[in-house]
Amino acid sequence: MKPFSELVVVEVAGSVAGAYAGKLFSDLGARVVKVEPPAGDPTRWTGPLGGGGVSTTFQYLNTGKSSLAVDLGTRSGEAIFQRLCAAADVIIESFSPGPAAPLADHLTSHDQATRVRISPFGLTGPSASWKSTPFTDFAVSGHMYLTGEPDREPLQGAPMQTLYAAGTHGFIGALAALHARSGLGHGQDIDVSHFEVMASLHQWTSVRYTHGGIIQRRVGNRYGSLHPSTIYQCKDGYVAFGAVGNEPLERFLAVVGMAELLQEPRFASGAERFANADAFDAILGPWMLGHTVSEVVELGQAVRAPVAPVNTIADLLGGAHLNERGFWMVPEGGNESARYPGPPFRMSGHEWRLRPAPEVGQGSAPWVDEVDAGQHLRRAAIVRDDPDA
Amino acid sequence: MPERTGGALVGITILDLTRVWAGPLATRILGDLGADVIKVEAIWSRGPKAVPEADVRVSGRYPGNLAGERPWNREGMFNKLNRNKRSVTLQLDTAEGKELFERLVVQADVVIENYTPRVMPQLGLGYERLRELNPGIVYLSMPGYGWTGPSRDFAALGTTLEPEAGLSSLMGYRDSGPYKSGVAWADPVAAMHGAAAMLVALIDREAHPQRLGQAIELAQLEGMICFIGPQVMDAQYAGPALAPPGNRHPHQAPQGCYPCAGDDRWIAITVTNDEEWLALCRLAGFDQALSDLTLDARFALHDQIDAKIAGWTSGQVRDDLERLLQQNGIAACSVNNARDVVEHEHLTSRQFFPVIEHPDAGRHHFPGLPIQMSATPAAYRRPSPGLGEHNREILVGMLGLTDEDLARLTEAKVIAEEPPG
Repeated sequence: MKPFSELVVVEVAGSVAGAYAGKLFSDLGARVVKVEPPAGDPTRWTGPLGGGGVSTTFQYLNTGKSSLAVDLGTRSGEAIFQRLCAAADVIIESFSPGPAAPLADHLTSHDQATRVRISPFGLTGPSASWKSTPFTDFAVSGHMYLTGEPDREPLQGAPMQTLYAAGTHGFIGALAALHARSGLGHGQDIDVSHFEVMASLHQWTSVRYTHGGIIQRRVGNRYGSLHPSTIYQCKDGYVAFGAVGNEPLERFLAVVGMAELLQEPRFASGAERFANADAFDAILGPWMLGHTVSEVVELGQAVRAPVAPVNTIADLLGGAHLNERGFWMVPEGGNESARYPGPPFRMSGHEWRLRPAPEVGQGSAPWVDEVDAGQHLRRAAIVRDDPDA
Repeated sequence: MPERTGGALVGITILDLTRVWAGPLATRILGDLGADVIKVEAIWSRGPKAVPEADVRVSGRYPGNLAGERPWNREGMFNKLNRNKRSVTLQLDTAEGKELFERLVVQADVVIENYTPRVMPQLGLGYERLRELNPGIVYLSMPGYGWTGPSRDFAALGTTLEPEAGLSSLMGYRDSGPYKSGVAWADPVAAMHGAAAMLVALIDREAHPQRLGQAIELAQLEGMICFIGPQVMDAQYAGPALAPPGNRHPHQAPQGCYPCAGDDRWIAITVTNDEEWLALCRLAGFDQALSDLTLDARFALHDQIDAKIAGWTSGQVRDDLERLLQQNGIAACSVNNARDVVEHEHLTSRQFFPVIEHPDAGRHHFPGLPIQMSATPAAYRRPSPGLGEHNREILVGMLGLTDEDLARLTEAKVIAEEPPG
């Protein structure tokens, strides 16, 4: 097995999904080459801009990668791409809103490489050619129907979650294929769709239908069939309260002087409280409004009730816990001053490094030298030069 | 013997101490990929022996809304998450239960748990001990807040971590406060990162000259924040957005959720460029004053445009409209409910909801693994295990215990095949 730091990953990703898969490889130390058109990936300038006039989305998702700017429409451009893929362990492709991976057709031999294609609907099936955005992914997969108020239109989730989820599944598939390669002797093709990924990430929705014939509807900020698993407004913000089982709630209500509430039959169980949630909230709600977020969280956590602040991003950045853990990171030696989220997991034997996203073509010289030693292709002016070379 | 499977992860044995959603989903992914996942369960972990019929009906998660003979083996969410796993019961807080677990650790590749950080050391099963037993062990711990920091011992659930991670502040109607997702979104996000982390550590071990394992700390709060990285940066450059976005897109317009014929039927549409806007206007019969609008103008007039589109979609059959818009190159999808998803033509054609037969729960469709692999495809080898179903297979087969040992352990309530009481 090759060590992680020697893995070569080629990423041809026009969407967040493939770029996040590539970022996970890159921040964990693999050598990731992002292939982009000579003018640069359009996502560099899409959405709010950060340091250096490049979009925050691009900067965040492409940390530590090198960039190979190449026109795949030219013969020499395609030749470089082919040679790069022949040397790769993993090739990641993702495009949306469009369904297809146009570069896919260029690939000829990639025996050792595992090819991960992430697309809205997958490579087969009647909707394979359909377009999607994170918004429509969230709808088609059954999540939007569950989000928002019962008497209003369904609501979208947080930004681009369907793409991150699909990208992480692409990463998992690639790792599994790398693991299998030692036995198989070759890589394989992986098909990941936003639709299936999101359809696999329901908690009770599909089960309640297949087992109980129940079509779950949206319940605002309440949850499932248990109460109070909800958001309450406080004096200076909001808290999220989680209720599973009676004991944590019992302890919380005892602390706030409402122990007797659970004696009432209508509030005796999570399901009873859910059926009478308006009445329950009419009692607990005003108490919450009279207290600050930090008071409620402290009182609750002191008795091990799952209560958390509903943070804005500013709250999050200022909070003691994540700062004390050193979660926020600034890429080494880049032109970003903003703090980025750090690793999604910390490994005792494997470093997580945050390095800046590349400029167009940056870091490509070693790759081009490696796959085009005679420099014939490079002279054909198909790559944007590496600013570092 | 560890179970031989097909699949990418053949030969990998995972000891799974997790409960509820995040952990079991992480190990289901690896089990679908061929790992032998041994679920180590406390004898009370599936709740009491009897479940009140009222709870069964409200939950909707029992086959036919009936508790049945062995309700602890029939609950649908558990059975959805635990296919391809074997179950051994062990009380880790007894000396003998702990000793048997330690003997399993010697034969395993991975141990995964989702307790708060105090629990494993209290049981005498912290990473130091696991590593002593098996230097190659990969240990994944997935507490809500991590091993350090002022909140490390706080209680957390997926439904509280999503709002705490800032996602809820990015959701909501344009006239409302923050919103939660319809599912406890932090759980599956932790599951995905956890499955990935275990695989990275297994690759590291293969490449390591002494085949050493390592410990992984997955703070569920942190992994969740990794899914909103650009928004974290935007808030530092421009300050946070003042109002929730409703159903709007940050830089494309129009985008919205529009009513169709029938009860609670909606269609979600995003127009991603001028060409698609023209196509939509042509289909809807909008006049040139509308179809000429630039992106900036469409943003400025978003409310009016929403009303026009809603006027056009109202009364139309949702799925027909979906097809028509997609045929004309517009990203539009039905806002599907559970039935729509489970019975979706596209997913059916890709055999995404396989039928799995369970001896206590019957035959049901369950979501498959959303990673289609050409050489090592996912396999659904066995249904979710009954409580302690594999006690003999594992304790006798892997650890060499005798039938007398099993009888004694059952008597001592270290193992069981049904919950106590």
